[in-house]
Amino acid sequence: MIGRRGNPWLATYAVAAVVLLYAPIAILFLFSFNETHFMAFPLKGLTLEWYRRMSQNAGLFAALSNSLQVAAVASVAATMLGLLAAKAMTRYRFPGRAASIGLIMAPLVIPEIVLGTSLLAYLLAAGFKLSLATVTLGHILLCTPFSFAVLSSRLAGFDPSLEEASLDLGENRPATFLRVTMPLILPGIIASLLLCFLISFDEFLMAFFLAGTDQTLPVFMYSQLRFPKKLPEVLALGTCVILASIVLIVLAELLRRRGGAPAQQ
Amino acid sequence: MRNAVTGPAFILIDHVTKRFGPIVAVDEASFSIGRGEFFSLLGPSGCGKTTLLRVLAGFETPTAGEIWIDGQPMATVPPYRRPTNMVFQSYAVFPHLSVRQNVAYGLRVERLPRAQSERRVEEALALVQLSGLADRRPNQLSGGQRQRVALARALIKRPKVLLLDEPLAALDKKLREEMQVELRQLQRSVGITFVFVTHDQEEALALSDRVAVMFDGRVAQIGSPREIYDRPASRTVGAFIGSMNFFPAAYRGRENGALVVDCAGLGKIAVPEGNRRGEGEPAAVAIRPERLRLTDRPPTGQAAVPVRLISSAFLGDRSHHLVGLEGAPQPIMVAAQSGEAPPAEDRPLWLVADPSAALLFSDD
Ligand SMILES: Nc1ncnc2c1ncn2[C@@H]1O[C@H](COP(=O)(O)OP(=O)(O)O)[C@@H](O)[C@H]1O
Ligand SMILES: [Mg+2]
Repeated sequence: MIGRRGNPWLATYAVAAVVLLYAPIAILFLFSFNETHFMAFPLKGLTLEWYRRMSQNAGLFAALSNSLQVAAVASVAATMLGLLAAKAMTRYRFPGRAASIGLIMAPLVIPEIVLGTSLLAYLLAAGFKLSLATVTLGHILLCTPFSFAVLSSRLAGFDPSLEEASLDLGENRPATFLRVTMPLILPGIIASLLLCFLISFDEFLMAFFLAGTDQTLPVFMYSQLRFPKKLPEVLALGTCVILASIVLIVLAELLRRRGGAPAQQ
Repeated sequence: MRNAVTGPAFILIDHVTKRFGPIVAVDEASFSIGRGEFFSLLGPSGCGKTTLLRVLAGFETPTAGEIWIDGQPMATVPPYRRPTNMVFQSYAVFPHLSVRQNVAYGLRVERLPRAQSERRVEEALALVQLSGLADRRPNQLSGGQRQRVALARALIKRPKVLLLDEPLAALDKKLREEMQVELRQLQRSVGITFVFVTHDQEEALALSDRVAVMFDGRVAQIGSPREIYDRPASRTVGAFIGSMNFFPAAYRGRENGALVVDCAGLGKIAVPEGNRRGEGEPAAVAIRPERLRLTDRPPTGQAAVPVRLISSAFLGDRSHHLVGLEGAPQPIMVAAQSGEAPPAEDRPLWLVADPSAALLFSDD
């Protein structure tokens, strides 16, 4: 790149794309500190009032707690399913393997609105009561393909003779899992947990369709938008969520990199 | 070459068969290995060497038959309790551990006092000359160094038997030859029984006290390197070990303790009775390239046949000449010391064959 003269239009285009993509986030950030609830320039003055109000909003904390619960359960469940599937698909060759992978990955390509409505119809027909549990089910469905993808790439390079070498050196199977398998796939597991957590945490459609009376945070934020005076509070909340997400994503990426390749044969 | 202590079998492989579905990977293998022996399993890729080694290590359960090591039946002993350790073909060095941690890995279960286990690690590192690299990570090591880690990690356990699966196959030629010498010296100094798998016949001959030659899951011959080379049990073994010229032949009868055959290209020759391999009627004459000689003067008093030179390859320490022989189906390979003058291309040439160096094979 450096020292090479590219097409100047390309550079302009790239800058414009970045600005367009991130300007809304910058605006969200700016207006969360604005003194009035009208979103218009110029800013009237800086205040932390909205953050203060946000921190006293009981409904918000109920929704936040709901979201954290759903995300925690969904990310653990999806990571366990993804791990089992990834272990099977990378270690064994069997008829129907490609079809199985397709099925696991399907929620990535099926429009979420279709998944959401069909899941809703199915759960109601099956006699389930809508609750945070049904939201969690939907999120597990959405998260499993991501977990599977992260963990398969981790396990693909895993040399099975590493586990055999441990057995050969006198460690039994549980000890081998703890001393060899686990450390080698741990970065993948953590990355999968973080990724699934984030996906579940900001997911709207499923949570909107499948929740009963309990709202998750995104659904709560959406409902607040009906009241114009609440807007700056939602902006403040949005800013907090974005900052937390950035921290988690950076953490996940650092872990993924630090883990390196599982084996360098 | 040192003779291994034989006597009562140290490792007994008793009618061991291993099937994977329809594939018979090891077919009725039955032999024993002596204490302190450097024993090689030699054969082409896919003949079942790795499978037999994995049966010894306990990673595969034999479909039939039994393994005994030092008087103990191994049938119900899991890999982590066997008196064997393995150097894997991929080395399987733990990538998340340092060299020192890799070498110390197997000591945890031995629950030694700290000072003693540290001393064992230092000894093992010194044994394979890795003391200076103890704190490196495996991805900072060369292939040869990783192989030493795998070796030290196995030897520190002081196994009764060390199993090695093509440990030198991934190294380049120069390093491979150095490691061959080191391995042989190492085996003598530690006195552990080595079972060494290779598809490289030169390597097997150079290193082993005894070699088992395997084809298609079956053990075709077991013997010292010299026996295997000089007196191959069958035509297949003869062709696999070193180079061998084969001539179709028809049996004509016995004469003064020798067997007379009509040999394509060489005519009627009398081969000593002792050079006959196998039970059936001789159907082929086999002679190693170094037992043949080319000359440009018609020799007197020796059986010689005219040949024409097809090509020559200079290999440094020796040369290989391919010659065409009337009546023989394939070109004949003749090996010559590099000191010998090369045959002239435009002069008539004669091939001199010593019948006492010929082997007789029946069809197998
Ligand atoms: N786990 C397995 N499943 C099915 N077939 C196998 C397995 N391991 C080995 N084989 C087959 O058994 C035969 C012998 O293999 P192997 O012992 O690896 O040979 P070598 O080490 O001599 O190259 C081969 O035909 C191989 O394909
Ligand atoms: Mg093999």
